[in-house]
Amino acid sequence: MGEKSPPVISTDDLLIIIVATLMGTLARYMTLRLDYRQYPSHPNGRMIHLVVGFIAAAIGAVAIPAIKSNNFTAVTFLALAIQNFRDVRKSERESLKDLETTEFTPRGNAYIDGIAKTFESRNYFALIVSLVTATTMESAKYLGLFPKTILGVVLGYAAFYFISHYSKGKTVGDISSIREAKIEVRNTELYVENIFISNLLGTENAQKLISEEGIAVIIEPTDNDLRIALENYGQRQAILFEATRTFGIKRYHFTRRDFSTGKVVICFVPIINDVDRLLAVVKNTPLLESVKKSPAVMN
Amino acid sequence: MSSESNKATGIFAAVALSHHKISGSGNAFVLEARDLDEQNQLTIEIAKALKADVLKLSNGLNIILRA
Repeated sequence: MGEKSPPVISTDDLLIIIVATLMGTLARYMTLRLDYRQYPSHPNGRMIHLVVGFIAAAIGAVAIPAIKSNNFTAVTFLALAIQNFRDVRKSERESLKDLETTEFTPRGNAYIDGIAKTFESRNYFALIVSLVTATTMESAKYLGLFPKTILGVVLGYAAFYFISHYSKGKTVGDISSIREAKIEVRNTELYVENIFISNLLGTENAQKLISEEGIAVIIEPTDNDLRIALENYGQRQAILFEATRTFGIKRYHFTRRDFSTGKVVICFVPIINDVDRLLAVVKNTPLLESVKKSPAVMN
Repeated sequence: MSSESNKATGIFAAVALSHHKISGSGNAFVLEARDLDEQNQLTIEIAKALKADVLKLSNGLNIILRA
């Protein structure tokens, strides 16, 4: 009765778990950007992803102390974590699909798939960063408490820097030039720089609305091979979605391709008319992973 | 791709004049106007109610649809 029971966890291990979990959670926080896309929504969406990121970081942090104590079955938690992150992707996809009917224009399945995959991969960031931090601190335990913590933080940040750069995708602006284009209404037909867009302007109201308040953007790929990605329906849906989500839509939205020149036209009547910001939004629209095609592997 | 993409698409109605010969209209509703002014007025009224677009054919027939 008087015998003191051994500690459940040593101070060293506790420090490793705390520092690694903090680093992993911080990595998730740093990738949880709230930009012009306003997604994830604030504050509930961010809260959900931060908590899931914290759990991912904690799993990565406890793996090393668990192996050290010969508890190899604890590693199976990593497999469980992967399953959990796949569920994150699935729930994200379902959530975005549920919202499709309420948006000005649909995001489209390709864009939703890209967003869901990104959310899944960001949890791996937290897991990897915490795992690297914990491994470093364990390997450098002979250095002393403070130096090993510093080393763990530095290598954890290096891991974060490397994987965040590795997984960084391109944007529409990286593969094309984007500019405002002139709208022209000829009787009941709509043209943007002589490219036919629609003949659905059968009433004077429609003709007046689009000629006075309509806005059009022309996107030209910088290379002929890039047309495959840019002209993809999912990619065009994503561009139109970002444009209409940011500026709203009063009426009409069109995307058209000019096959002879490779130009892609986006035209709509926005609620807020701001050409400069629209160009920036189109430029910053992510280039979807599912539409990428490497011309090198086609030879 | 046009507006109101989350709603049903198709031809909802046609507004014709007396000289138009329409043999069949499927599910679309066909109206015959007295003159050009009435045709335009009816077209706008139906299009507004249905939040639809108007296609003016070169023979003068107005079609109300959502693409």
